[in-house]
Amino acid sequence: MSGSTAPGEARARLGALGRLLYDVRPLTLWERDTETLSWHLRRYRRRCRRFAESYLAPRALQMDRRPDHAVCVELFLESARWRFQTELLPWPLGSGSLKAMAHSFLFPAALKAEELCAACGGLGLALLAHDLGIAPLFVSGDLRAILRWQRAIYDEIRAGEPAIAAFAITEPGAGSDAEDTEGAASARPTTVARRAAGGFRLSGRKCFISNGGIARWVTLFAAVDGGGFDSWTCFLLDQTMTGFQVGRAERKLGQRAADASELVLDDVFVPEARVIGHVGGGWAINRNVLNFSRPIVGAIAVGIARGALERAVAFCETTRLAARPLTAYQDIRLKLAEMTAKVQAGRALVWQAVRYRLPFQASGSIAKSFCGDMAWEVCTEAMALLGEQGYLRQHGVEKAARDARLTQIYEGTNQINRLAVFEGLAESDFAPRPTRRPVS
Amino acid sequence: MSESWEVRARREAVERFAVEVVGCLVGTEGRDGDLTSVKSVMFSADELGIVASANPGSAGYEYGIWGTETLSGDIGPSLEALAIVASRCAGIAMGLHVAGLAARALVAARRQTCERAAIALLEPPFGLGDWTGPPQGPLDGLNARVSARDGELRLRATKTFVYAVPDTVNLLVICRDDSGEHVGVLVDREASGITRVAAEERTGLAACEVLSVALEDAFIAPAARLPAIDAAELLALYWLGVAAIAVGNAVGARRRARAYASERVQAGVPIARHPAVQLLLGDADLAIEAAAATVAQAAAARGKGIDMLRRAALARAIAADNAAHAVTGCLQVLGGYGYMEEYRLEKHLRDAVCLRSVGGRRDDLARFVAMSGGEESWRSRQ
Ligand SMILES: Cc1cc2nc3c(=O)[nH]c(=O)nc-3n(C[C@H](O)[C@H](O)[C@H](O)COP(=O)(O)OP(=O)(O)OC[C@H]3O[C@@H](n4cnc5c(N)ncnc54)[C@H](O)[C@@H]3O)c2cc1C
Repeated sequence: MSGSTAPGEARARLGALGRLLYDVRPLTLWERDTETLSWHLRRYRRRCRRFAESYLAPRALQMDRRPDHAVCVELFLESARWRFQTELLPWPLGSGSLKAMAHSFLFPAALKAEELCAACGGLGLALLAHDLGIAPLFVSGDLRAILRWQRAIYDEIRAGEPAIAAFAITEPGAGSDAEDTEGAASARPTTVARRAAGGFRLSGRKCFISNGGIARWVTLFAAVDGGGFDSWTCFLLDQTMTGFQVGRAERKLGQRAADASELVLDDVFVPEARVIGHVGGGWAINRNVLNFSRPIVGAIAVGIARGALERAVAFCETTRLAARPLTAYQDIRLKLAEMTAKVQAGRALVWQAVRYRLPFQASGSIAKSFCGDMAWEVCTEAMALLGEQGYLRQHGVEKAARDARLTQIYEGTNQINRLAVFEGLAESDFAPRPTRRPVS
Repeated sequence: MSESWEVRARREAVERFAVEVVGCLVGTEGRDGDLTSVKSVMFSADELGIVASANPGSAGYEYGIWGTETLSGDIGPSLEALAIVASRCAGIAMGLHVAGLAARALVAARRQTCERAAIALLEPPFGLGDWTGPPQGPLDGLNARVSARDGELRLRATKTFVYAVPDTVNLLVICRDDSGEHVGVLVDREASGITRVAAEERTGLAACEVLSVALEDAFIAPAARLPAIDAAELLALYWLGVAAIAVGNAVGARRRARAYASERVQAGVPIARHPAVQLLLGDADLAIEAAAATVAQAAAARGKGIDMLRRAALARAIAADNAAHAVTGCLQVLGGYGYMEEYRLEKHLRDAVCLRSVGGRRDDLARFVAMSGGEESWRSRQ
């Protein structure tokens, strides 16, 4: 590029005011986006990045090769020391910032999810699934659940205990049915709760439960007294309960550092006090937890895509073709720019979704499904950019692609999420309009 | 035109091999099945005449994958066989592809041998060596050289992503000689300078080994040198084989997804009844059919040199992209189960994303296609 037409040098030929209006600072997009945040969130985002780069990135490839529960627990404790595991309540009950929460409840969670998953999707999930497990306590709006249980779990964590939580809705026969209005209306859950003296007796199976194998606490949903999903009730179980067992741990394509296990309930007695919200209130809690968690899955996807992009850029800077770095070639520049635009679009959508004071069905599902698809595209494009090298584990790009693929599946498949977008807007944006006379 | 009895019988034999031998290796256990049995699978492939060898007495010499029938231009059956095997395991199909292609090159060079070889053609960083684009064509980026010195040959070659099956004995290294012609040189695969990338360190195609060759002025016996080789044809067949494997891999994924969709019940009906799932399966169908048609067209077209190479590049680029699109859609049909190893959709996906890059990056192929033909020259060919 000729010196005199490059933006930086051209700017020098402007007057003082013109120069002020012309921003050519060599700042990364990450820094620029951070600058747009409030002081609190800026600090928080930088802290998340520091943590992710110091603790997750160095372990990412090894944990992908050989997942290890002990390392996940160790990292959970470390992240708790960084105050990342008690954030769904403000100080003094938890470590959430009241100011940040008042501005937007989910913004910090979205920032955290992106940073952790840019370093490692699997370890990111292992650390983030705890918030998902805690969410029903909070989202139930049941003060007893919050003050008694959530606070107790947070106290354990602050005392240095690995009081990890998991969220269990999926059953072998009910995946989408547990996340979709129509599916739930026509299906019968097989994890059931029978009333017994002083509480309930739970039997059945849950599958694919993130952190199921290492969680001390599980928020689990069961149908009461032979009812359907409308009778679903949320229970807080703990690992020490008689009849509660962890079944098989799944071997999966990606996010391998994170455990996904089956939970087996064999006539587990759960006292009345462990009912979260009301009996029969489980379906509403579940749906609203998904409203809270889906934008975060969007952020996970953005993080994974960003990680792949950063690794692809590093590869292109260091790999030479005909004595020039790859970044000197126009086709490579086009591809990197396209991928960057996609990641930015995803982040913009997530940030938009978490800017609403409260999350709602359509915004969460839009962010989740769009970003899940975007992440898969960006990661596979990154792989293609590296050619056959793209499928070598050492570059971390193929791992990102494997990790990204899950964001199109969990928290409802992207198909179910798109149906949720329509349902969520059925009475507003998609409502039948009164016939209008054409404007003449 | 109805198919001949022989063609049907051959297809059935390959299908039986794919189901009974390859399917057994893949199974449901472990990330990629029982990789220790790849050697015995290859042994069966030899015995059953599924793959060619350069030994005229071998069962697959004529009609195995890339057998001598392909020397006269009939490559359709080899491509079909690769696709059938790939529908069970793309890694094994890749092994058969390179073993058969090497045998074909040896036969063309009148070298009779029972020893299995693999082809070392492509170079770093992306397969096409220092090729930074048209107009010369992809083979011009390849730098490997062989030169005669004091009655011996000196070979300088850096080759990457050389696919081979575990019982491979020699690598057929493609390089230029002093006159600038492409020739092949047989190098012992155990030679120093040849290294292997462990299967666990790669995304897919695990049944196949991936070797790198870094030979800096290695001395080679003159007998190791084969006469001139049609490198453009070799690269074209290599690309076409990869394209066929990509299509077959997607067909396998579709088979599993269809079976699952008719059994899995959500919202009170088999998921195959949900338009969302029909769209996933239908999109996979569209992508696969388009890919298969491109491969078939490239295979049927007569042509040589750049023309054939261009068609093969098109086929590789379209087929591998379409197939990966189809496979990811099929995985989605299985929801969370698709993400788990035992349902094998994730293996199809890992293999599919690898195949998108085997033999060169899609964008490099696209640029070559753009510069080597285009509509005008296409019209003039009609
Ligand atoms: C690694 C991993 C971690 C997970 N973590 C958790 C967790 O922590 N807690 C938890 O409870 N669950 C968890 N899940 C479960 C996850 O949310 C489900 O896998 C997901 O909702 C899909 O359900 P399914 O797998 O049963 O697929 P299915 O519901 O069987 O879907 C199969 C296909 O049918 C389609 N389909 C189904 N029903 C309909 C319909 N009504 N209309 C149109 N299309 C339909 C789907 O879109 C999909 O394409 C996890 C899953 C995985 C893979």
